[in-house]
Amino acid sequence: MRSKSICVKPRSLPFKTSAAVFSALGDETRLRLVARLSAGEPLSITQLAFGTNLTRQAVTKHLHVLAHARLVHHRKQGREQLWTFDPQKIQDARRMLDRIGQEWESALSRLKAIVESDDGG
Amino acid sequence: MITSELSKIERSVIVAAPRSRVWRALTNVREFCRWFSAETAHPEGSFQPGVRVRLVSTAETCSGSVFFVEIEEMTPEQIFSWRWHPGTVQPDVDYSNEPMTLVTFLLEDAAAGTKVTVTESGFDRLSLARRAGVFEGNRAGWDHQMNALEKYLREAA
Repeated sequence: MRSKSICVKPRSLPFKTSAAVFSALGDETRLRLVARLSAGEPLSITQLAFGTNLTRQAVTKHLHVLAHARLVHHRKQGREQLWTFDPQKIQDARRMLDRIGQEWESALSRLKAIVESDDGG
Repeated sequence: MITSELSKIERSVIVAAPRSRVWRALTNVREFCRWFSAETAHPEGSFQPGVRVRLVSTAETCSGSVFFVEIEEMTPEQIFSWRWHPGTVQPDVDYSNEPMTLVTFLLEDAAAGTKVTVTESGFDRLSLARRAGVFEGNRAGWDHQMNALEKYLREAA
């Protein structure tokens, strides 16, 4: 049986953008920053640092990692920069995993078909 | 949204056959190649832990692509796992220093036979080097593959 669907090649395409997302979210502090921003309200670095043990510098550093992965962006308002969460990249990463998951589903169904089509021989 | 959800894939299927039969389909190289759509220069025998196996895809959309699996754990009729570089298809790129994902098959008894669960984990460890533009462009290639997959599943149904 020569079937058509497990193909490692197309995985490379979404990986290119998603690797940065996974990497950026692989840190608990950044994950918390994303969680706070994902509530929707744009926040300043001062607001994000408030109530945490993080310095403003540390928050800034983490935000830049997240911005590099395009998970957050900022705009200037008066003297402050306000940071906003952008869900698009997480959705892309989610979609990539869903697609790889579909490949695995397809592979498992071929495994099932092959195993069940014979009588153990 | 938690990171583990974003860095791991898990799928399972119930197969109407004993674990011994499923184990053979997973670990006998010739049988593996049939359902995984791949071929190898040495299809004799079974996979062994610690062995690196060179495979060539026979899938329609990327026929001829070379990839490697490094067999990790083999607990007979229970656990079969390997590491690989997903998406390593550019012949002129050295992937050897990049993190791999871990693919694990878990076999469990089920009422109607065997439950096979596959997980692929470690996507969060993939390096930022992936972003270096190596795989620039060609979203259309992926869409083409997905269409082929959907067509296959329709025909198989």
